[in-house]
Amino acid sequence: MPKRLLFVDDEALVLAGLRRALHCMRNEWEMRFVGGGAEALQALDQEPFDAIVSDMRMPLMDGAQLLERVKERHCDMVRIVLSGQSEKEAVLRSIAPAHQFLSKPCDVQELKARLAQAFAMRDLLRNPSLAAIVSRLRSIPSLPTLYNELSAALASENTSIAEIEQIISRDVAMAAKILQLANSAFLGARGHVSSLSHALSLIGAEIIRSLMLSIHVFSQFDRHSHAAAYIPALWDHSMAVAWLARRIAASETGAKAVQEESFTTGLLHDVGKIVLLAEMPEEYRRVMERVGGGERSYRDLETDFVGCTHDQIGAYLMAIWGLPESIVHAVGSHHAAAGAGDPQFSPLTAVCFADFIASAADSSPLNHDLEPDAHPFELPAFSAKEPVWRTFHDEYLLARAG
Amino acid sequence: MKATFGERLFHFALVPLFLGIALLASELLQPVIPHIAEYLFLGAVVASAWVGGHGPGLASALLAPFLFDYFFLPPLYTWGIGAEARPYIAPFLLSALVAGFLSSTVRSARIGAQDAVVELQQSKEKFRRILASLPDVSWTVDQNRRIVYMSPKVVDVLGYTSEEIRAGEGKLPRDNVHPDDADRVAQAWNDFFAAQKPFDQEYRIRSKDGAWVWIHNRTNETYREQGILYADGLFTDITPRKHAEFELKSKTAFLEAQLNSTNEGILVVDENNRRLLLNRRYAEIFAVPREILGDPADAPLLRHVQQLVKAPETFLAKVDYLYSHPEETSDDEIELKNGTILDRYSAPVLDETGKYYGRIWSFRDVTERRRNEATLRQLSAAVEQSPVSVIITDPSGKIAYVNRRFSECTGYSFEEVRGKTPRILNSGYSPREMYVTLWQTIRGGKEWRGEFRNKKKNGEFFWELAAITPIFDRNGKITHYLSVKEDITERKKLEAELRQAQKLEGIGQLAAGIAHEINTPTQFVTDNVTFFQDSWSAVAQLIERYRRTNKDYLEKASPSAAAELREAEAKLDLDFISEEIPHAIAQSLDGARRVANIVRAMKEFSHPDSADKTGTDLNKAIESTITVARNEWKYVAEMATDFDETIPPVVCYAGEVNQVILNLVVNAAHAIKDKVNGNEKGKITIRSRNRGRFAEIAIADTGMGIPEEIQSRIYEPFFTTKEVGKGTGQGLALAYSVIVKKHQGKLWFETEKGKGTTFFVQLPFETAGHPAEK
Repeated sequence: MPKRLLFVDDEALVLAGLRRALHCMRNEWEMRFVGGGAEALQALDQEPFDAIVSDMRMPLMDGAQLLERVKERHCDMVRIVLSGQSEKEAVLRSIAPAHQFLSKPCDVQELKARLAQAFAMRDLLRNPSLAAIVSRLRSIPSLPTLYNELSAALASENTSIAEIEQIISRDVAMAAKILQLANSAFLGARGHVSSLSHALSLIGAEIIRSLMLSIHVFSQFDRHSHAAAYIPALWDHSMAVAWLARRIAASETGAKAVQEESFTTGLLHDVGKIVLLAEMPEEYRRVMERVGGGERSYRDLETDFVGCTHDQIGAYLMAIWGLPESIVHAVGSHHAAAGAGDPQFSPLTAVCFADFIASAADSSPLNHDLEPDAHPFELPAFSAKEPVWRTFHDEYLLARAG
Repeated sequence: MKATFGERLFHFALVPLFLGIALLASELLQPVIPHIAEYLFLGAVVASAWVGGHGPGLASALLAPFLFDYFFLPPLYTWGIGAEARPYIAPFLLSALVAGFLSSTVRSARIGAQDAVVELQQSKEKFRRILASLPDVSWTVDQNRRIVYMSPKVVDVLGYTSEEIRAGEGKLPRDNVHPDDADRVAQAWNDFFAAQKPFDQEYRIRSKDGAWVWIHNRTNETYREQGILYADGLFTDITPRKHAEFELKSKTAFLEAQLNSTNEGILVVDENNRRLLLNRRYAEIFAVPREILGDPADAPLLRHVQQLVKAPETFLAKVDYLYSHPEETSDDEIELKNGTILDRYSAPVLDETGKYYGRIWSFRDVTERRRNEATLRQLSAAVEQSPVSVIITDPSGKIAYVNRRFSECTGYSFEEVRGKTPRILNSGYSPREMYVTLWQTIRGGKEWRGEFRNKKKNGEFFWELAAITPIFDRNGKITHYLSVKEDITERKKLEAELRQAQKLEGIGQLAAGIAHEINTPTQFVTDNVTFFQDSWSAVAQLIERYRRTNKDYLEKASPSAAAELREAEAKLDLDFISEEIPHAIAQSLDGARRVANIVRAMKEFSHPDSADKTGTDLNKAIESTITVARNEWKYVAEMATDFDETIPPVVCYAGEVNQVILNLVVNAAHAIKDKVNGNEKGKITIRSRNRGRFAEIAIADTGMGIPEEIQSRIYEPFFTTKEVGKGTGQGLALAYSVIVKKHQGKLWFETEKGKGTTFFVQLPFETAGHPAEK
């Protein structure tokens, strides 16, 4: 079934150009081109669309306003801004309603790639209501203690970016949000930002401060939620995997970028669980209660009770937020043994093994999500590494304690 | 009276005469009168002795018995005295002695009387002479005050002769007594004559020439002569003395007044340290009570003073010391309990031989002066410590004073510039006219304000904001010029930086606006060209298919139509089109991408949003800068880049760092331009390197190199080798400020004459612990 896209721009020539340039996609995409916000809303009322690509600066109703409405009324759509302005202000205003921010002139290849990735991940979600939940998410909730810590740190004028990084690198939700921002066409930044410290240095303390204090893109977990009990375990696990993934990467390669991406991917690998715990706490609790109890694997239980797995949800979220493809892929397939079987060492490899090592040492049912038949160290390429890599977990425990 | 030799001879000559007479008389009378001869001889002896004294008397007494014996005694007639004559020797000798004695007694008595008269007369004469030689005038008056006598000397005194005065019987002097003295004098005369009180008066009499003459007239007592009362007296001309006295008096009064009118408290003590006098001011300073002032004793005064001073012990110690060392002078300060500060000066009074007569103490109230001095000291300390330079010159501009700040600022010490003019600072930058106006203004008594670009001792330039004002004396004459100067180099630099920043901000805003305007058409140009690209390949294939499919068919069906078509194809040059259109499209896309790149570079370069330090991709920043500055270098140099891709983002003020790179690139281009001058192009090579804790950028040119003599100065603000108006002298100064000061980085260069220069910039990755500076 072809995807349906709506393009909005007050400049007719831009629309015409896009129509022509994307003409080659006519078999996969059904596209409509409208000249303003009102027409866009009208079109949306008439027929459903999968994605909207809107200009930012338009008369009467600008892109941010339009997308805000779209988010309310047609929450399962992928919302992308394609703007000629790339000032900080415009980007910040779009953060709330848009999933991604692209700046003109944007290569149609780039646009196609981003949309294709989002659609691909969405197709994995068999439950359409889940897609709506994900695309409605403005943010995923942070661990309350870290949220407060960042809040306190930012209250001081003199907080350095290093201190901010020290906090954000421990929180899955904030790290994901920061990467989303950094991968927007933010301040002219191009290319894919997969390192948290790179992302933070691009954004700067001042913007983090406004994200936190005036745009409120960060939120915290509801302590009274049914799933609240599982939250600390999830954060501990994410940190452990991030740390171990980086450690493993460091032992395998000197490339700093790979190490950084391993850390980021490790931190984000279970981001789908946060979405599920936050958005479907009751259902997910049932999953937790049954983990390890019977024939059904963790992921089977997720499919039974939620309709899809946490890695699918996570990958979709990361995809519509425009994170680099490698991260999206890793989040989506960190349980696939295929990842570990890849002869080329990648952050995904590191995360797979880190997850395997960390889960084995964890008691929370939340983290017992490995496939029962997963024995990555039995792969010939890695059997020799097992004793060394396993010692990294002790190092981690020491590091955390110290 | 002694007899002369002649008289003595005469006296001896009388002896034979008398004896002869006695012999003759005896011859005659002997017969008549018996024994008369003896008596006659006796008489001759006595007469000789009487007239001639002892000598002749004895001589005659010895001769007389011989004669008597020879002539009158019975008949002996032998030489020597006969026995009959011998009894006469003793009576004759005795008589001679008695007569000589009597004669000399009588004679000497008679001579004494004669001498007395002579002496009296002589002494009278002498007395007259003495009187005449005295300045005094002697006089005699009778009881009626008639002048009986007046010594002629009077003419010298009063101008009147004594005759003139005697003629007036005393009226003349009496009537000419000074009216102020007349009563007193008259009374004194009365007292003298009536009550025998000695008369002793000094008074004035008008002299003959009308001048007042002071006389001292006196007499002690009266005497009576023939029943009339007289008095003798003297008067003396004392006019000079009177005048001297008057002068002394006035002088003394003057001195006393002076002593009292001086502002110093003065105490004079004698050689025994007893108070001789103290002046009014002294009494005031020490508030000496009346009873102590009136008390000649020293102790109460000293006690009084002692209880006033703050440190009585040291005060006393000094007094004691000086009294025991009379030759010493001293000058010190004492403080009273009421806060008054006194300058105490003490000096001995010595005569030329060094004899010590006493000591003068003088006390001056210097409280006000000390207070003024303290204020002056404070003010001068303020000037000395002032954060602005202060220069004081004389009217010709010669430096009389500079404060410490001046020395700090210029590097010249006061000693070095004293007597010189501030022209030593002149950098030659400011126009002559400015100095002319300056001098006109301040010579005209007005204040001049302005800015100088001056030169320090070490040759460094600096900017000063100066206010120069004349200093006038009481008469309104200019005595000095005061120049207060503030070093505004930093401010100038900041202003320049601010201007630069504003310029950058302006460019940034403009760039953002233009970017939006350009980005939109770029979007659809790109989209459309992309569409061409996609479509054309399909269309070209389609045309090819048509050509292949229809060719044979059309040849057969309609050769003319086929020929027509061939002709049309040839005319169109379809082969050329088919080949060129993809290139045209690809190049158009490339061009559009370049436009987009330039716009992005411009935006990135100007960074309007970067009030904060942000992570910056240095390689991209260099690329943007090269793009933006392309016009500066592309005509003189080739640009080569060599980037280290492992450099992580550097947290920095991106806009400013871009500016630094731009300045260095532009400098490199200029350096090459100076060298190549229309010949072969030079080369600029920009390298980036990851140096662990630093990112390093090296910008190398193949220009002239930096001359050694200016190498140390290139970072100085306002230093430029470019001609006036071309260079601001800010580029490298700004670079230094941005890299070294704001980013704790490093900036240095390597240069070789004629070969080129490489500038190195190092920026630290971590400014950990240093939060983003504002």
